[in-house]
This record gives sequence, C-alpha cells and structure tokens, in this order.
Amino acid sequence: MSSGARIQRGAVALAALRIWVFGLWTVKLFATPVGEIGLLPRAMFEPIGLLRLFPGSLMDVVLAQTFLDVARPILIGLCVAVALALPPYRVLSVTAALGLTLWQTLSRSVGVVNHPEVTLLLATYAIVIFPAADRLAPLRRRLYDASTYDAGVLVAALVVLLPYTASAGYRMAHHAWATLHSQIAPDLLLRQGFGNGVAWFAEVALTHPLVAAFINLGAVVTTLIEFAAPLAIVHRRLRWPIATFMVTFHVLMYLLIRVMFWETALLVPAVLLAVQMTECSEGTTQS
Amino acid sequence: MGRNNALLLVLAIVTLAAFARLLPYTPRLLGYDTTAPTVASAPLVARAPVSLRSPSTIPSRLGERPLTLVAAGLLAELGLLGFILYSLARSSHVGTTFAALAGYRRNLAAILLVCTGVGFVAGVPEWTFPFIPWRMFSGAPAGEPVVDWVVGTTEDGRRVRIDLVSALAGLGHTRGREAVLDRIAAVVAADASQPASRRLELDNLLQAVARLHTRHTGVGLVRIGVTRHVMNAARPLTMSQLSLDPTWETQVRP
Repeated sequence: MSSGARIQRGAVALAALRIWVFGLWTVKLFATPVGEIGLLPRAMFEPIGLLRLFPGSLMDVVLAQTFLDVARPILIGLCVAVALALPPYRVLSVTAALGLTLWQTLSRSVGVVNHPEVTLLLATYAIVIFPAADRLAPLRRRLYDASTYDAGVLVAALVVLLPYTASAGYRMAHHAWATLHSQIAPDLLLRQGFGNGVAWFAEVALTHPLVAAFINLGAVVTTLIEFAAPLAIVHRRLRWPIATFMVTFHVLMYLLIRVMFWETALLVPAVLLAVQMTECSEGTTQS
Repeated sequence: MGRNNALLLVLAIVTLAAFARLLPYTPRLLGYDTTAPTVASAPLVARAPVSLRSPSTIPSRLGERPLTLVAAGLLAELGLLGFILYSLARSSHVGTTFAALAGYRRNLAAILLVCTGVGFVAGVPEWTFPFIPWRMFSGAPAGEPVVDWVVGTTEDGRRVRIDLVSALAGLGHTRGREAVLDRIAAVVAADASQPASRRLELDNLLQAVARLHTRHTGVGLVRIGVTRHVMNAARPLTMSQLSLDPTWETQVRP
C-alpha cells in the first residue's frame, strides 16, 4: 500500500470514530430529558469541576428548566453538525466538547460523581484535538501525515481502555484480599440487585454455593482482564478476546445488577477497530 | 519511543500522580497538622488493631488503615499503572506514532493523557472532573448491606416501589437514584437529633420525585416515603419478602 493510501486509511479511521462518538452523544441527548434537572430542588445542587467557577446567579440561570430545554436541542444540533463534519468544523467541535463537558458536570453536581459517559467525554477530547474531519465529510480537506491520524486513534483508544487498568489496579493494590475472598460480589449483589429491584440473580447466587463460587471466580478473572485491557491496543492476538470479554462483562453487569456503562461497551470495539485499521495500513507499508 | 524515553514518561506520570495524591497529607506527614485531611480520603487513623497475618482485620476504608499499609497500597497501585503504561509506551506502534507526531497536537495529547493518568490516582471528583479516580467495585463497606426503597401510595391506595432510575432520568443513568438514596441514607438512618432542616430537605426531594414519577408514569401519588431493609448474605431474602411499608413517609403536596 502506498504512503497516500496509508494516510487515507488513518484519516478514515479517525473520521469514523468522530461519527461514532458524536453519534453516541446525539442518541444520549435524545434519550435524556435534560430539562427535568430544572424540576429538582435547588438545594440538591453543589457545583463541581468547571461549574465551581460559575457565580451563584449564573448557576440559577443554568439550572432553570427553560434554559435546559433550549440548551438541549442546541447541543443536539452541535453534535450532529460535528458528526457530519459541517463547517466551521473546528469552532463547532470545540463548542460541542465544551457544551458536553458542562452538561456532564451539571448532571453530576448532585453529590454523585460517577463514571458512565466519562470515557465518551475523554474520547471526545481526543477527537477534537486531532483532525477528525478530513474524510467522511462533505468537504475533502488537505491530509496531514499518517502519524497525526494514527496518534488521534491511539489517544482515543488509550483514554477509553486505561480506566479499566486504573479500576482493576486500585482493586488489586488496596482490596486484593476482599476480591480474592468473596467479599465484594455478594455485597454488590445484595445492595445493587435488591436496590434496583432485579434481585432474581442475587437470590440464586446467594442460595446456591456453586453459583456463588462461579461469581467470585468471575470477579477475580474480570479484575485481571480489566487490568490488561489496554494491551489490546498493542497486541493483535489479545485484541478481540479482550474486546469480547469487556462487552460481555458490561452486558452481564446490566443483567445482574442493572449497572450499565453502555457508552464504554460501544466504544471499546469501535476504538480497537480503528486501531486495527491504522495498524493494518502501517504493516502493509512496512512490507 | 526508546526504552529510556518510555521510562522517563512513565516515571513523570507516576511521580506527578504520587505527589498529587500525597499533597493533601503533607502538613500531617510533616507534623504541622494533627487534624485529618478532608480531601482525597477519610482520616488516616487506625481504629482497630490490624494484622497482615489475618488480612480480614484490614478495614475496607483506606482512611481507617495504618499509614504504612495505605502507603504500600499506593506504591502497588502506582507500580501496576506504571507497568501497563510502560508496556504501551515501549510498543513499536505507540512509540513510532508519538515520536513522529509534532506541533501543538502532541502537547495537547500529552496534557490529555497526563491529566487522565494523574486523575486515576489523585483526582478529586468535585474539583477535577472529568479527570477522576476509577475505583468501582473495590472493597465491601463494613456492616450489613442496607437497601432503601422509595415507596409511594397511589390515589387508589396501592403501595408501589418508585423506579428512581426512570423518575430521575434527567440526571442520566443511575445518578438520580444514587443521589436520592445518598440523601435518604444521611437523613432517615439518623435518629431524632437530625436537624429539622435536613428532614425538610428530604421532604422537598421526595415531593420532586413524586412529581417526576407522575410525569413519567401518569400515576398520581398521595403519599411518598422510604422503606429501609437491612440485608444479610447468610440468610438472604427474596424480593417478594421485602416489605413496602414505609419507615418514614410524607403527604404529597399538590
């Protein structure tokens, strides 16, 4: 494959990630009644992150249902425009990233700073930093060198997969005993399963020792695979087994305790596919 | 990326992360302050004898562990993260790609990766979002698991469990549910010494939940309250055995 074809392939991989990431945001915004945040008591909100810089009066405006009802379609429009790479792309993509960050920060200003959407947000930053609108776009732009596109794909893959290592590494370093000795899974099943009203599996697991043993073994194996997940970026043989495992893990977590990181589950195969595309082009060039 | 460059990059991230994680404890470590730090973790005070020979005595909360054990855990955490980062940086694909990258994009990418890596170890969610620690499913909290349900009484007298995930969908995912349950745990679990303002806050919150539940389901509520269940893994209950009788409830205001 020529150098030009290699560059093309990298540009297409990064552009495909752009469409996927902003497409997911669009679906998410359509599915979330953002304006209802304005119906919650003001006392529930304690600004975090960027919103700490906002004066109280501005927070009152941001939390008003009217503002949120107007902001949502604007943000949807921005995400669609960026997914389609409409001009002026740079301005639109930076504005969309800022808007999405503020939305995600606002929805966490209720005392619960949890992790769904965080990998999607970090991948958004990677897309915005690198030239992701040079292909699969209405305007064909001048292409950069191959490393620019490959780096964009790699950074997106790293920010999506490294959190698995962080989570598993913390568990292994600080809670290895509890993980190995079946203390975490039963507690999780009881709290989340019964708390979310999906206790059928908790009931089975807690009354059948074999099922419980399988769950506990699963917790250990999952921790080890989570820890090694980013290696799927650099080792082809590990790539699809790890991707399959992680997606299965997320689906199982949803079935068992109704905790679903669906954005991450949809991002993992996408970023690894993009890595594969850039890697294939590189390998062909070398040969 | 050469071996030395890869090592230097990883050491930089890991050292920065360690420094940021230890920063809140500096006055205490230097002996200037005997009060507990309020950022990053709970107080560094051992409340019960801890022995490595019987690991079950190690408290689940890091703040209740001896300082040496917390430090050993931090070293292990940094070592594990460093190992993966080094493995990635040493690979030819990552190395050659980043070595060839030039200009402001290289700097921005480096800033994004460093912020993400440091956030894993030393992020403070309330300040550094979206660069935050990832510590889910780590350790089981002490004591019996407690499950709180929000229950409502419909106009025809039926008791129903309120689906908080649906009612508070505006906050996204399970955040609304977690936020409401956190506040309930703080107020309902307390005794009568709880300030009236906290009860009022909970009452206002439940009024909002009732309105949102009606908005989503079309089912009006006349009363809304909280049912608390103390669970036990040794003698598990089934869903049908859990009562819907509220521990505390209030009238829904029109």
